Amino acid sequence: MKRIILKVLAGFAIFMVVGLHADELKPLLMEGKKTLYQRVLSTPDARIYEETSRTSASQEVVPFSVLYVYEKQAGWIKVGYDSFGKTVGWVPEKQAIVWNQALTVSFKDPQDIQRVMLFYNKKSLKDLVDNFDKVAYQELYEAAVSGEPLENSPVIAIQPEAHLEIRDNFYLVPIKQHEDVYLGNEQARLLEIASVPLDDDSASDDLSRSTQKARSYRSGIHFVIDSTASMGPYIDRTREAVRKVFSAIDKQDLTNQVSFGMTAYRDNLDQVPELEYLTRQYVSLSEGTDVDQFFEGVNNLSPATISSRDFREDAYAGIKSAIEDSDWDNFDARYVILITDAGPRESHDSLGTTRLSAQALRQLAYDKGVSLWVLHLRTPSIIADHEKAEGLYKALSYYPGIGDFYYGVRLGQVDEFGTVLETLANQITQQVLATTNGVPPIPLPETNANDEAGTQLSQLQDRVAKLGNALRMRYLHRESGKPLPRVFDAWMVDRDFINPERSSVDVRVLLTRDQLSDLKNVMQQVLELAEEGVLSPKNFINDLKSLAATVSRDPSSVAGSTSGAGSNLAEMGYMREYIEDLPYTGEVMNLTLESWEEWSAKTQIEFMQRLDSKINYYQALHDHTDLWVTPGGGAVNGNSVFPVALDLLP
Amino acid sequence: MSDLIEPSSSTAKNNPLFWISLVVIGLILFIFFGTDRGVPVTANEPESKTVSVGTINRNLLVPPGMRARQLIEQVREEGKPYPLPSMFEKAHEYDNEGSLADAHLLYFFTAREGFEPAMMKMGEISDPTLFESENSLLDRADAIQSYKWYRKLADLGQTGADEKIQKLQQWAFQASISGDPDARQLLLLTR
Repeated sequence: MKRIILKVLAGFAIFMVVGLHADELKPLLMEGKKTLYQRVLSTPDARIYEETSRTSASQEVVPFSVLYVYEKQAGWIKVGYDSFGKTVGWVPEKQAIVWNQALTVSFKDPQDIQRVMLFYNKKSLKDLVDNFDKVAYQELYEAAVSGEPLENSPVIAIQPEAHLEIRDNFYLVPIKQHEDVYLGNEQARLLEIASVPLDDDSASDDLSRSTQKARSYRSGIHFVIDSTASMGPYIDRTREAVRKVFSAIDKQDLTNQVSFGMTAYRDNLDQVPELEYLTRQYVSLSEGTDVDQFFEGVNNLSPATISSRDFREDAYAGIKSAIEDSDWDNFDARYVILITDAGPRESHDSLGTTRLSAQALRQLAYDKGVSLWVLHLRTPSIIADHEKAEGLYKALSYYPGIGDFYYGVRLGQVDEFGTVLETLANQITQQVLATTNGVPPIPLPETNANDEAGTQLSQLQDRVAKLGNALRMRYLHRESGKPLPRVFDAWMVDRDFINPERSSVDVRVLLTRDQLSDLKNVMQQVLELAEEGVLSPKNFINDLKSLAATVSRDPSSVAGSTSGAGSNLAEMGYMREYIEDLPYTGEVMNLTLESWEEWSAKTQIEFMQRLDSKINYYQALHDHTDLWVTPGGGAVNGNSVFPVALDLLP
Repeated sequence: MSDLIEPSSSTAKNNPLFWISLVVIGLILFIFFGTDRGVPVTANEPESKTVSVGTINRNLLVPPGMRARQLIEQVREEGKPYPLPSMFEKAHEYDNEGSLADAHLLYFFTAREGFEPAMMKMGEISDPTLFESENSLLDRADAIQSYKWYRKLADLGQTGADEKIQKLQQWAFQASISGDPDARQLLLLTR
């Protein structure tokens, strides 16, 4: 009887599992693929609607977000951020870029190489490439760099001068088409990309048109400052920095458009009542438009005279107060800048009052449209836990699609702190000025690239200049009276035109973490066989064929394909669907059994080491979860993505 | 011996074709029978106990790596535990005689089996701070390989490996500035 009951229960369980899976919604598959789903990128003006109607409720979407396609219906696409069946709504087809191959471009640092020019159409670029006309190219380049393109120039845009390292700042420049060509003696690719324009500073045609609207653009900057005993010098320097920024605001006639607030915080009063307060707002944003009112408020601020309990303070309480107790409604751009030399009290800390994690507090800010910045004073102290604090503050200040807004001040140097604070506050002010003048980009102050502090600051500023996941290209083609396009297509070549032996960009494929994990596992097995094959070659071929049958996506096809000694690994079944149509086949997939047998021990060893190196890279990428971007935000999962350079594929 | 040859060859030596032929034959021998280092290679049986460093047995010409593979096959047939110290010594001998492929394969085999001196050797062979192309089978250093072996050793508690890793990291910091891809990858691995 027991057996019967067990069988019935087991059968029911199987039925439930099968049933659940059958009901699970899956994205649409790409044509001819068994595991690859259709994907699109959202354009900068895209919105996600609840229904297939522009009058239905909608929400903004981060530009160039990766979206899975679940359904298509009369010009609309039902989308989700992952392939696990959770959809978020409908996007008009016109607000989506079809992007099935998931190829993207990452630019090299323009300090080392000429900036990449983007052309209106393929023909104009191909003519230059076919003729390898360096003189004509250089002429176009110099004009483009000067911001004054030649008459009838085929150049539509140029790579921005500032460099973003894709590993630190995820961005996408989607490739829509590619074509192999020769540039001089070098093999190169023509790439059609989609990009977002960055207006040229010199373009002023539309200033008056946009001024009216932009006049109302306002920025609110609320400082949240640690006012415990150690913070005296930094409180003074903050006052000085804000005074300078006020002076700049006044000179640029931006009064009333930038406002400052300040909240001070200390720690749990239950433990040390002498600290007087946990949080206290000294100046509100509405008061902080006026320089006199601001200083009237902050002049009352002084550091505590008694030490708190340990090296952590309740920074989250200060931030929460700044977010919730400030009137943000009148501000288009909203910033909370935390200044502290101590780590925060996390949700599990019994002395913390907010019970919020960094992620939860970040979400609170995000929901209010507030960007959190952290200036962390890494003062020399034997009890400080700066590493842990850095991790938490980076998580706290992370903005989806851009990166974190964390700046660590080495040794808590007051001068460096002051410079950084002034630079960032000025940058926000410049953003207001730029918007007022109808010029969206943020001017980047000069910093010494060799200086660690300068580099860190420059990176922080670069993040401010990025638009969602889109890297903006400096747009050169302006037509009087016409607004800039939201997004434009252009053609480029992936090699430096003047020195074609150097590549100007890396072509990358956006892999999911699950795909990379699969790739790593398969290649690890190949490596183990290769290691054995190097030491004892006689079984290698048969072992490789046996393994092919287990790792192949289509084992039934393996037997036939491995019969010929000329078969390469790709044909044997090692190829993965997510890399098979890419404009690159690596040496591992190209390896034939014939060539392996002919190779010397040295060549086999070198091959094995290159494969090992790639596997190490996959493993490192996989393990560094901070490098992965989760479409739509949230924790890293199997659908999180990273752009892997094509030449790092097997 | 030279006395016997001299008289009959004296006229031939005056003929330039004789010298050209000699050079061509020499080149052919070099191409077909040269070692990894360019020294004429010959091999003895792996288990041979008569070999001494630098001795060349011209009766047995084998491709680079074959002697090591034969030895590996033999010890595998005999079963575990493998004689790792003596195999490591053998690798040294091959190294000294210029048979770099044989040496490399034995270092690799013994390192893979967990013999710590061999693991250190594998790390050093590829270490960009120690690399000498004239003494290496490989054409270039490989920081990732080097780090892999040092890391394994460090995980086994070898403090010497920690120092090597530190030096490797210092190298990576410098080399990454000029865009060395291995250095950049190493920095990612050691983040």
